[in-house]
Amino acid sequence: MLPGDPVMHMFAGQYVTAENMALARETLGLDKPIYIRYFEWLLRIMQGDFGTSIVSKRPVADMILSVLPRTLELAVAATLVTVVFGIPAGVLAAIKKNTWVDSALMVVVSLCVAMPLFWFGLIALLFFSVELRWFPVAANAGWSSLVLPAFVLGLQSACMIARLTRSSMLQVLGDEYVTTARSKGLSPWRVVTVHGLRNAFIPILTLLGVQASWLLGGAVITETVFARPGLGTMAVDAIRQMDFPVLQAVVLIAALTYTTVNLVIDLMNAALDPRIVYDTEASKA
Amino acid sequence: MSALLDVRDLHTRFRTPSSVINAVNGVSFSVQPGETLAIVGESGSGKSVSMLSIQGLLPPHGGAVEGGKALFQGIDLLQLDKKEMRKINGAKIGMIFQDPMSSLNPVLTIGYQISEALREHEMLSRGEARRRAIDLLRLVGIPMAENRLNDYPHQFSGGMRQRAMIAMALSCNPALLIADEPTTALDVTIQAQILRLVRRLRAERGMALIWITHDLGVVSRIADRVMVMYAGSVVEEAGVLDFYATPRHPYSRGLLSSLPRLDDNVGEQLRPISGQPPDLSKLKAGCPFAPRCPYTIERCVRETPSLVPTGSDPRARVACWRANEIGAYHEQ
Repeated sequence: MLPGDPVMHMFAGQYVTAENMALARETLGLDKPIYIRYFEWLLRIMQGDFGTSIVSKRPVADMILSVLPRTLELAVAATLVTVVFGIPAGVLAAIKKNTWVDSALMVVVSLCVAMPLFWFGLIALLFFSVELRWFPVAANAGWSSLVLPAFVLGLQSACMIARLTRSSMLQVLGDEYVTTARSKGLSPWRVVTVHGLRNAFIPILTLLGVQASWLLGGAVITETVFARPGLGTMAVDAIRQMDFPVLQAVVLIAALTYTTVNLVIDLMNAALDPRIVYDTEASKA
Repeated sequence: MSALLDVRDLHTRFRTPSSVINAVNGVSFSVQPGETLAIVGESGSGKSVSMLSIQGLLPPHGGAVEGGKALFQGIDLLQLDKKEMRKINGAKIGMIFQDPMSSLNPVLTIGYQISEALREHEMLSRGEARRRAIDLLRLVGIPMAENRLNDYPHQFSGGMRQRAMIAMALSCNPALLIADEPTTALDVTIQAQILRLVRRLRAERGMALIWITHDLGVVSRIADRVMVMYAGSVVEEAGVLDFYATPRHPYSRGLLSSLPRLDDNVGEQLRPISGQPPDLSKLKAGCPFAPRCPYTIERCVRETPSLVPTGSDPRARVACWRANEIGAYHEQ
């Protein structure tokens, strides 16, 4: 629930009569009690109607669809950064346990995890865009404008993934089947990837799922820092302007994404680990 | 006849920041082609670590071989680099482990795990390796082998898992099979089946076998020779019949008399060896078994006995100052 009155906000600084304000509340449906409004909203959502923005008067569905691809693009790119940097870093640290490689990686990782996202974003922007001019400061310049936000958003998750990968790999590499694999004379690469990572990946995948939802929260900050249009900036604007329908839609999408991603992750876990079976016949047995 | 494996004065230590653990202290032994050597000793006596040292399979952080030779078919395994060692492991030396559940990778199919070594060492294609894997599963007595190839380890029973492990170890026809307590985790009937299986395969293929165990009951059923280890050292080696008839080292005597026997009188108590094995980070001069030995004399505490030939068997050895006295006394 958001404190404040959107109607007051709408007419702020204007001369309006009490009747006009009451009329506006009635057309927006804000005169009804909150539970009625909730069920009305729910009914409309079921029919695919996200309502109309109080501020822009455009259909919310249109607004969302216009920015959704940009946020998805950012989320996918950030996840890619997480996987591409986090997992190899963790594996490397595990293989080189207690060497300077491991220590250096873990120092970087701890720093990354401890840094606030908005601050990291600002520093990156200042350094790479303003000083070095490698990437555009403005957000709308194609792929090159995606690089920096994706890195800022993905790096922190990459660091958490790196830490989990390291501990998960260390545990797996101490397992007996890894000794078996080595006793077969397999190459270290096969031992680490086929026998090690394949087993270590199960907890990593679960954390990736949790982070996918966390990514949407991160997108709010990243998009704001980099002034990228997207669900995040839209949510921030909606909060500022008390645009209920827009905010409700964004929250709904965030929740749906979270559950969908985690369902997909659970199914992927089952595909990865033959001991997990989603089968009613098997669970009866 | 030259030995298949000839290990001389092997030393392995585990170094931690606070201490040095002397896991293997000058172990020497040899295995002839086709021969079965049982290595006996309690947990921490260095049996498994010796084998892992020879194969270069010690855990990457911790243990290291710090001396000795391990000649396998005339090549010193301890001098090989990792790449050369990989060509021997899985190809010429096969290995089976104690717990077939944790020794098999839970997320890979049995068929994949068996064909892996074949594809690595014999460069077989997927299809050829698969056919060989089916043959191997048949060989170790798994019914309907072609249907079980795509099963995962958790779909196999304990005995079948150990059979699959054996199939895996035998896949490239090794000259030496090292079995590290392969029947310890199995129940007695399955244990007997696995023993029979390994005996049959050894006879068919003429491979040598090193069988690590702490179960003297198993030793009598499989071994040609017995080597007893205590606190990282060999204390006795003998032919299996001699060993059971006239054990020469007091520790061997203790092990044998702590076994229950069918001809024991009812109500007679088992005779355990009192005391604890020594802390391997604090080994002192003197016989490591001295504190627990009923025959200790002053010399045992002062000087470490070396492993010397004994009796008529040229390969029989014992490390005890009083072996002859004790042997003579008990032979009367």
